[in-house]
Amino acid sequence: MPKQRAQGSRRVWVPAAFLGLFAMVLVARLVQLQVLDHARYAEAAQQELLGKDVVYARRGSILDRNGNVLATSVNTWDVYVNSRTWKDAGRSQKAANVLGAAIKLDPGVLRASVLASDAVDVLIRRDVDFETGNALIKQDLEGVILLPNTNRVNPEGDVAASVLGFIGLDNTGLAGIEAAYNDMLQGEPGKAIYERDTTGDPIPFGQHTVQPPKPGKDVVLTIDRFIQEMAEQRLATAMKEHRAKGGAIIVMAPATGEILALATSPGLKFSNLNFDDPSQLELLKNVAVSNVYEPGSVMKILTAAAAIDAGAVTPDTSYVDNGIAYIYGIPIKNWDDSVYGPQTMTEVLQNSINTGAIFMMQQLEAIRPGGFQKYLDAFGIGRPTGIDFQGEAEGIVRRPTDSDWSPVDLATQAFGQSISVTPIQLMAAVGAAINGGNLVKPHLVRALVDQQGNRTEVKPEIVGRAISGQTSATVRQMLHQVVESPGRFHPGNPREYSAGGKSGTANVPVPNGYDQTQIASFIGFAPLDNPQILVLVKLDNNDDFLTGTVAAGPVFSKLADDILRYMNIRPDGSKYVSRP
Amino acid sequence: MLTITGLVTVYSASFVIGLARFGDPNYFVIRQAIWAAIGTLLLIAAMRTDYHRLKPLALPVMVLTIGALVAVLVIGVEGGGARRWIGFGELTVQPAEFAKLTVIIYLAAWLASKGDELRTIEHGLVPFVFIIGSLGALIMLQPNLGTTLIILLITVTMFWVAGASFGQMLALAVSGFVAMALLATVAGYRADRITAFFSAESDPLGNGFQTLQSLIAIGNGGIHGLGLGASRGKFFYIPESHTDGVFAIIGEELGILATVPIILLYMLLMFRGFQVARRAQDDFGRLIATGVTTWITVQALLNIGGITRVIPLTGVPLPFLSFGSNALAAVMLAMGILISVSRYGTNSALPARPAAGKDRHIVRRRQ
Repeated sequence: MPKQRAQGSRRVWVPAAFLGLFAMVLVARLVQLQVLDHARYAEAAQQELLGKDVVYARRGSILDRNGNVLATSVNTWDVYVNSRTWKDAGRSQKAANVLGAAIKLDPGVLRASVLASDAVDVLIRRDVDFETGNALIKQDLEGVILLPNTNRVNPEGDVAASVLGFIGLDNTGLAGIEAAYNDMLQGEPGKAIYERDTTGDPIPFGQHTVQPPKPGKDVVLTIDRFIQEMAEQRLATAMKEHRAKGGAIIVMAPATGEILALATSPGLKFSNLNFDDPSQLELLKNVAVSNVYEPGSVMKILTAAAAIDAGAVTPDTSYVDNGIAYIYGIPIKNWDDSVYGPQTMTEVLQNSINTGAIFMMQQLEAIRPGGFQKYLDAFGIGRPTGIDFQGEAEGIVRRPTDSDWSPVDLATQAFGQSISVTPIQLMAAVGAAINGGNLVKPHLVRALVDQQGNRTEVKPEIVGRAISGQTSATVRQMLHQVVESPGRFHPGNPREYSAGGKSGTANVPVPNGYDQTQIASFIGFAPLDNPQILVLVKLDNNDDFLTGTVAAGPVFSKLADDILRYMNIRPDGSKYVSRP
Repeated sequence: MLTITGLVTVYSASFVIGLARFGDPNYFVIRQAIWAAIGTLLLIAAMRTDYHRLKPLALPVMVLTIGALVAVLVIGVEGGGARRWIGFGELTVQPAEFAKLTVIIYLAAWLASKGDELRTIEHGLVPFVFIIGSLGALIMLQPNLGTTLIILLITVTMFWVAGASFGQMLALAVSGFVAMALLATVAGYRADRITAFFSAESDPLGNGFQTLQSLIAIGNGGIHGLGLGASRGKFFYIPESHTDGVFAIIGEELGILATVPIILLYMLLMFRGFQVARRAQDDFGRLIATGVTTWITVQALLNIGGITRVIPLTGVPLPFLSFGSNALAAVMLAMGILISVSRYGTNSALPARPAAGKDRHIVRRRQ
């Protein structure tokens, strides 16, 4: 018995040895894990722990040229409800009542929609206003989660909507200035880096660093919200009066290229934005920048300016109109089929004689072959202006170098056919003809202001020189005589200011010819000697088939009076002076 | 044996700290504290009871245990794909936890009664395999591989200490290994655990998740750890972080300065336990001491080995430290019996004095 016990006693140390050995292996393993490989595991832990959130920067505002706010961001809250928490009817009833009252939703409907959702955190309402959200946060409702967001608001309503554009849910501009200047408006989003659990929620007391976002810059437009509104109202009225399907009114400062107003139809309206309607996708672009049309007789301004600048004709050069011109045997008639007989170049513009425009082009080509095309290039025709807006079209010009060009094209281009421009391109070209000869870049943004108030002005940009200052003055005089000459009434002549202008009535080109629809337009400037505004009025497919002079001319004259009076420009019109 | 009492106190203290980390739902802490108190009462009661009085209870308790194990299969509560608990309202009982203890007592009594007859096949190996095999089968039906494995290791060790021959041990080792291999392949999740052990990286979000996350947590702890309460892993990265995975959390929060001492404490416990066994007056006491010591040590090492990916995960809790009411009560009761053996069973008086002082030193440092 003692012997056995002694043996048993010793036997105890066998399992002890096994277990001790294993324990030593474990200790060695721990040294390996926690000391030797610590750095590797620490990094692995960091990697899987770190969560990143984008903290959106406050988006800059868009202001008009005088500082009126057209688009700005306000702080809001997005309201979510945790559907798991709300499964318990007792806990959710009170929260549903309070939340429902705050966002004007029936508590029963609210609960039902939360419970019907598959999501854990159910989005209830975006962009709840700041005060309502703060009040909800104070109440600390069961399962109700509020996340900060910003909402874009347009305090002036639909004014300049097509220029401003809009942003998407991710705070990125999708159209208009919001898109064109997105980088500046958006700023630089910040980052929140935090340690998270496997469900993605931040761990309390975990490492949490926030890289603050850089707020976006404010964009100051060249647009004047009052001139913009005048233009929009005039466009709407004119379209209604002449049963037009669309149109545009652009007001530009001819010397600098600053766009003071840009009204278009069809155009964006914040009040009825609905992208479930596919036709509204067209509104993502601005028709004055993206769509081309044949300018028609307005083009004669450039033809005359080119011929005079080259010294081929003077305003008093005369020729005899037979009512028809033959170009390589192809007859080209006047717009009204009339025969004017002997006419000066000024009278060609006054009466808008197609054969006269061809005469000017031919005189130019006679002394300077290829000169007409060179002048078109100098006026920027067929080339994007580089306006600070997305989606600009370049226009269509058939050049002598193109395979399908014919000499007939030169003749028709002289009076504005076989040539397509964007409204903004035409503004720049005519602007050069009347502003002293400089082709300036049209632009919509005047300055950028950062959050510290540092203002960066956008300098007007002269792209090139089209004609001499002398020629420009001559063209102004000729265009003045279009709207104001003894014995004639012209609807495009403003009552209070001296002005100049030219109408255009163009058929809409379709494959193999022209449609029955037309575009009636008028481009004019005022005051005569130092033009402050250049205005294009364009009415598309006006059902009454009135000409540019009759339909668009009065819109210009009234608008010029309104705008210049608003701009505090001293009236200098002959009729105004003659009135008591 | 103040030594062991001291050790238990240390463990008790540290598990409370360990569980306090689970912060928000004090649920766990309060439960565990209550069970620690109950456990302490059980310990003191057992400590003051002469372990010889357990001997007549061995058979009835064993019958009761088997009854409970059968009952759990019939009326048990399901959890995590297994039937392991019997519910009495708030209270749940996990018979397998107490089965470990009753098996030790029963087997100690049985083996002690055999004496030299053990060395024969018909009186030793065959009945032994029958008893252990049927008990193991009952627990495997839950299923609960970890507990089965521990019971097998405890009983085989007891069998060895009781005087089994070398040949018998070899036969047991071989057949045990074959049985484990078979069982591991039968259940999908066990095969997954073994796959995860060998190639956790190939499936970091699936089978390898628990293994890899535990390793990351322990490795991230480094020497000092992230600080008490600063664990990242407990935020759902480590499954069962408060039970089976608690060692990973300790490693993450307190570093190697805590993990190695914890292993050393278990080693000290083992040393003390086997010392008690060696000095025990009779076979019954020695076998009980052997069983209890083997149980706690094996279970601790299986847990830590699984967490540190030295062996495949077996899903057993860490004695004293893991959350779990039944396990804690059973372990503390067992410790009480072990102390009883040392109090009523040793022939030589107090050889452990110097060591006691060393333990106190450890206690102070950990506070």
